[in-house]
Amino acid sequence: MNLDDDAKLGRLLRDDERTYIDDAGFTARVLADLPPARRTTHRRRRAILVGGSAALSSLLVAIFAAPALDAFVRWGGDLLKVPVSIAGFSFPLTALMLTVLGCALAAWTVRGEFRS
Amino acid sequence: MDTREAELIARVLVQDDRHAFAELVKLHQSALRAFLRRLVRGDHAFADDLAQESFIEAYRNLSSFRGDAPFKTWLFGIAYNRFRQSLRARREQPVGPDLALLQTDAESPVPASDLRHDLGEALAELRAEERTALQLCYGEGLSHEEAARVMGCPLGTVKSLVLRAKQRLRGLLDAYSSTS
Repeated sequence: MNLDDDAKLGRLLRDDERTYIDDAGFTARVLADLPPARRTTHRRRRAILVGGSAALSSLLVAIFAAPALDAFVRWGGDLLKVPVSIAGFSFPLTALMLTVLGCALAAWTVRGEFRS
Repeated sequence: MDTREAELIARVLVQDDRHAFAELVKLHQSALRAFLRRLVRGDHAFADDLAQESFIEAYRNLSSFRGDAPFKTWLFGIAYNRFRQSLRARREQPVGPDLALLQTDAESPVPASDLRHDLGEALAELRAEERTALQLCYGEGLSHEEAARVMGCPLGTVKSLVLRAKQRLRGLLDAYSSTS
């Protein structure tokens, strides 16, 4: 064969009509192996929003409820006749607890989304 | 890239439309599977596995498709990378002539021509890169630039691969014809 004849080589390599491969379920197999639908992304975003706002609101509650909580802890300390050393830390402690609670809630929601 | 293809890609990206992706698969499955069957020299099941993995990878990374080259070129690039990874994993072994060519000839009512048979055997003797470059430029009708994109190598490399492949084919075919 004269391989300087590029058209001839192209024809032989293309083998146009005879190399058409029938789908025969190939597309269905590809679709079956695709990753889960991306609608979970929207749910995840929603879960993060819910978690974030929970954490934020926890912080706000902690700020505004801190004096009341402080008084409550002091009252508990007086009642039990125990020196209350926790009282000074009530604000950061409450804020931390509520923030952790908010984050845990968000994480739990996201995990639930991944499972579904 | 034609508008129909662009529309399908947009539907997959925006709405995660699986019917649109199925259309894309149907459009390209035959060409991609034929290409891979030639690269793996006749192992149809393995070529189809590679094609399936390539489509799934294309789906996962569709957002990185920039559209500055045809979708087919991008898809073939993914498939070629998969093929190379499989070569590294399996270590390329000579497995004889291109069974795809021989098989279609056997199924055909028209007897296989000696030339086609010899070409199949000669192609099997080429290095994987040479065979790929030749197949892309002649079999798939891609330009040298597009073939370079698919193979992820410089334009000059593709040109020299094609040239060397043709020289080797010529030598092999001459040798076959002189022995027969």
